[in-house]
Amino acid sequence: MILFSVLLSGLDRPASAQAPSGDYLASLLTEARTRKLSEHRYWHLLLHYRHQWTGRVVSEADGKDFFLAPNGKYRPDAELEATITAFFAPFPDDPEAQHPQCRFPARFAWLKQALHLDPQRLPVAPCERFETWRSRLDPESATIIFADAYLANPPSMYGHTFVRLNHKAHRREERLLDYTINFSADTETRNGIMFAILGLIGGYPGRFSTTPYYIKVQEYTNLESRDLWEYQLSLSPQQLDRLVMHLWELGSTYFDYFFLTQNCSYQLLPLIEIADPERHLSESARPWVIPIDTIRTLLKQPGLVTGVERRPSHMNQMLEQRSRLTADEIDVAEAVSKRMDLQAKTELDRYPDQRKALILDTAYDYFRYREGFTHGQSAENKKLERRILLERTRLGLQASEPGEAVQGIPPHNGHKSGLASLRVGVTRHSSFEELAIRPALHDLAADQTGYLPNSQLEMFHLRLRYDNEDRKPYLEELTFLRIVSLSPTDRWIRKPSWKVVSGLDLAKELDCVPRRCLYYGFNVGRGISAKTDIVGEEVFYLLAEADLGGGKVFRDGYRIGGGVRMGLLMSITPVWRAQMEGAFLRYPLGDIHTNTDILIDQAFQLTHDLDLRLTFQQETSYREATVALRVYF
Amino acid sequence: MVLLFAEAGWDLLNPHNQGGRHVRQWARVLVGMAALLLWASGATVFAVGYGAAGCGPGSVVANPKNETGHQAYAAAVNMSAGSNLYVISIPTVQQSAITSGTSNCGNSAKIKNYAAQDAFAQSTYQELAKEMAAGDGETVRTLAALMGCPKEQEAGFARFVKTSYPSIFPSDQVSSAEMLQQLKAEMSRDPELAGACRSL
Repeated sequence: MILFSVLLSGLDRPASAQAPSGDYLASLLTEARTRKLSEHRYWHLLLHYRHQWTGRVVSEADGKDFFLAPNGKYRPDAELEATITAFFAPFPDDPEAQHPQCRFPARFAWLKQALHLDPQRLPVAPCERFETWRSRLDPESATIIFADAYLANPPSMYGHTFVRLNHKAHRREERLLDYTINFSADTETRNGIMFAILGLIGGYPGRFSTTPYYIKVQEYTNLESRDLWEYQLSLSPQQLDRLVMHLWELGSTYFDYFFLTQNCSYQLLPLIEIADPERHLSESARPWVIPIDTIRTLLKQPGLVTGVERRPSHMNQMLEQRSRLTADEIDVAEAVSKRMDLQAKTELDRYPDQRKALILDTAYDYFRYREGFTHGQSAENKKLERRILLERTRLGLQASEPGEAVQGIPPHNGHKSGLASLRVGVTRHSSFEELAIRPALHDLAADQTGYLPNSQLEMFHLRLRYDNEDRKPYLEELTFLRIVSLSPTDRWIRKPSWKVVSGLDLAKELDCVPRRCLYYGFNVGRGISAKTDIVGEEVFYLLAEADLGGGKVFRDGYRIGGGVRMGLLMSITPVWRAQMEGAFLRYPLGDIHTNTDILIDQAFQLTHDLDLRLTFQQETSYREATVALRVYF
Repeated sequence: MVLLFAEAGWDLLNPHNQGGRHVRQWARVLVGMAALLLWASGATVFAVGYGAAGCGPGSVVANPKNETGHQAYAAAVNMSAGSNLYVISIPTVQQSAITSGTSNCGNSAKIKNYAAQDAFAQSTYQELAKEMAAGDGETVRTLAALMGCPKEQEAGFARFVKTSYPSIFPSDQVSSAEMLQQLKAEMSRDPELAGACRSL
């Protein structure tokens, strides 16, 4: 409560004359009005009011029940008066019905302090349901958790953030039982396109939910093979109590969910401001919100984040364990995992118990990864599982040989999310300058620290060029979406490599004037990739692609075709990466022609958020060489 | 597939290729294209499998109705707008456990404990089996806490489940509820754990 007093230090109440108790409400309303309580920052935080660019104040909450005044969404003053008035309502007879004091405990707690509410004249309602609920959360601390990006599912491409409330009664080892706070779109739609469209325009209600952490751990680390990063926050129990009270208020409402702006991460910052209003977190300069940027915002706050821990996914745990086995031991682990027959047992028995334990643990993890985490597995699977685990129990209390925990590189250490770039280049006929901007996120040649390895995710990449010969500007590229996900084939992990691209591009291979070259292209590909460690790290890939284009540049206005693309992605030194790629595409429909593309891109990382690119590109007869300086912001 | 496609493509480029043959070739090309598109998109994208709670248009509050096939559990939260009924219930695939378990705040602490054990065992069944066989781990220690065992007993509990593993999992067809039942039966026969763990 000390902090609370600090918060309210500007609000010292003028000594008011004792009013008769019947007029108590009236005097409180007058006081609230004269002191302009409805303009106080905390009131605006509690009601999620925001100033729009027009200067108008609007609450971001969209559920009607969140407001007690009919125009409460737009009128902080009306809402404040309606709230104070509602607190005087008679107690309901029905024990299930909730008094406004119980529906809005955070508002009540704040006004109690701000207006020095007198319990003699304003009876305090018993809130049994709220109190029961609160005792289930009762946090002593909070942790914000980042789930790694998961490209295979559009809503998870940028990762996810949620908060865990660490219950006072739980020990450190019982964190699995803590509850998490999630903000997510509430929908039953399974149609990908509907998803994307409605998600962009706010067609789904976003709601807060509370889920035990063990469910989240199952979902992310087991089902989706995503590492979790737990960032500990230094919020005090008193501060968190305010958060919990406010969370209860949010249970009745919803916020329209916008994929790019008002998403899961966006809504977490106001929660932390509610807990600690001294911190100004949600006034971001950017209109879009990327989950990892939320983490960076928190990290910038002095003393707020006190540490980070990694909870590896099942898959990574398995791979880290396997890396501690010798080649022979891996063979045995595979035999155990797939058969666990007499032969496998004999091979296993050649090893000392500690190694055996490690082999068996790895074998079981591989079995689980291979067969999945579904319930209702086949009888054969269950038999095999039992054979492996029974063998493990026979090792007495032998722990598997301990290895060093892999710390990993936390995702906030990656380069920043936005990109601005200045490029100059020459073609056979001319030269040009190029300005480019890309709100998100990462490309193949960029430094991979903190990002999914061998992946690319670009959205709204805009490149504008000025031709020095023509003396005219033109649009070089506007990519709506470009995802490339290369998963090198591993003995135990077989994931497809794939790509999808959608956006405006120039068909320079047709020898057209750039301004008349524009078309819309859609391209998908799937294939394989493999990793070697000859120079540094090399990833070879081969993709079969389908390619569609539409635009005036094409005869008949379109082209449909496909072909193959192969490439090599190299980490030569820690600061030097290169991508080499060749593609052969044939278009038998529409504008019939053939394309041969070559790309050689070299990336030199100059500082954490600055890189230099040397690029050569050929599209059939068109060639260009460029140099670019790129800043991540 | 790619071959079929390329073949069709070459045909179309044949200078002698004229008139009536177009339709068939078009069909072949389109079939090839469609197959390639399907194959490529099968790799991943836009097929929203289990309602992955993420950050975007598809981040859903997992829906219990869709969870039969796999283990993506319902974020079993009872939040009905308006009434402000916002009670955390213990999530489980068995909806009965939700209704009979914890969403009703009037239930006794004991029943809540059982429901919590059930839900936890069901959600983490495979982890539990593995850690019980190994004789330690975070999940098994958490189960010890849910059984009301004091901290001093956690390691003892983990050892105990390892040695009693064959009785706790008497066959390869044990459900999580049966496993819990067996575990509790075994624990009640162990003088130390039976005395120390309060929520058997």
